[in-house]
Amino acid sequence: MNRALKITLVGLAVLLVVAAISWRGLRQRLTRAPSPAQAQRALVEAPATSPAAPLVPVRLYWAAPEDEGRGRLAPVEIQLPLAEDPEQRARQVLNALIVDAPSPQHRTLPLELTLLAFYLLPDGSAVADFSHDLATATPSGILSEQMAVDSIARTLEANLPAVRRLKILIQGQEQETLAGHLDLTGWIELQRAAAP
Amino acid sequence: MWQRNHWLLTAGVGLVALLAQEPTPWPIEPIEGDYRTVVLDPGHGGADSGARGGTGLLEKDLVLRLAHSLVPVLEREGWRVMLTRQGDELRSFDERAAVANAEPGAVFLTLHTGSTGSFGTARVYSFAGFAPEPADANPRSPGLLPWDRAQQPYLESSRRLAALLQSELARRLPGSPEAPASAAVRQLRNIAAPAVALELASVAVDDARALEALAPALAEAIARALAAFRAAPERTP
Repeated sequence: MNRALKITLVGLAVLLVVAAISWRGLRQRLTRAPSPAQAQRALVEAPATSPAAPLVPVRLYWAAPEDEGRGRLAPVEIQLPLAEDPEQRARQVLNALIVDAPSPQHRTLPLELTLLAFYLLPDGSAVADFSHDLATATPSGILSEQMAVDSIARTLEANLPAVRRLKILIQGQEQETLAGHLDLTGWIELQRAAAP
Repeated sequence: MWQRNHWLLTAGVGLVALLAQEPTPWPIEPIEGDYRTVVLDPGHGGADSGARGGTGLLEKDLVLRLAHSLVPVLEREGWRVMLTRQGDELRSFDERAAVANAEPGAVFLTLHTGSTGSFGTARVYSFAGFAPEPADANPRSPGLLPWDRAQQPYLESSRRLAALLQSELARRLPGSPEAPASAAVRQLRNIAAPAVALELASVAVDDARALEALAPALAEAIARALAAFRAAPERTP
């Protein structure tokens, strides 16, 4: 084996080792990288409560999977370390409604949805501002859009006594409909008695 | 002289009392019992496809074909039938409402196929109702109906129509609910006539022909419900 061939082979071996190390690192970074929805949610979600915050039972309204296709919502109780502040508490509860559905059949809101902001005025009027995914990723239809809105409204009814009515915005703007059917121009009056 | 002043005073007080009266909240009474036109509204159209199935089925196409198939059936029953769109064109919610609102004695039916729900079932919706008007709202001139609350005086008759139609659908399309629902369906809000939305499940089906095969049952249910509504629009079913 002449000298030039030896040098070439050693060079190739070094290149292979470097490529393998780089590839491993790149893969690890890719698998750790959050999805755009996760990244957006991390930016806007409610600040974490202190570890000492007591766990509070929270009632979340998802689709009843045993009645799939029938449009019924059913409450599921989970425990969350909730903040005292009602606006922060609402953000925590609605974020859980989006991401913590026990199964895809329970889901009423798209997983990629982000709650951008939540405001509560002293008269009980609340404004929930969602990302554009509410309009683009919610299945279009009267039934599916009504279930999306009802799950938000009933979850707030059950957990935020201060909220009397709700306005839903998408990317900070009032929209005529959610995904082509359900009217979003008005206020949604919460029927406190309706929440079991 | 005293007598003349007395009459003037009385007339003045009467005029002030008349002007101080609250305007009648809903001076326009719905026409009951004289329904002769059905306005069929195939939802969406043009750039607005509505719900989209996994195999490319589009709500706008399905509901247009359904609407066209309903026309001869309803005409045979003696109805004058109007469509809010004839082809694949986009009409605004207001343009569609204007078709019904310009037609005395109209009944409005908006047709949809959703993305979810058990295949072959149908749900009927009346408008969910209106939030109370704010106390500081400007007083309404008698004879004027606010466009964005046009459905309000017709809610009761819309609920009756929805109940009749849902009952007929439950008989013909197994799995459909027995009772209608109410929802804030945008298209219904400014219809000044009895108005309901019908949503057939769903565009998730693989073959459009499976949904179109339901058209005869759908047409029969709609025709029977409309006939019952026209015969006794006041009676709660």
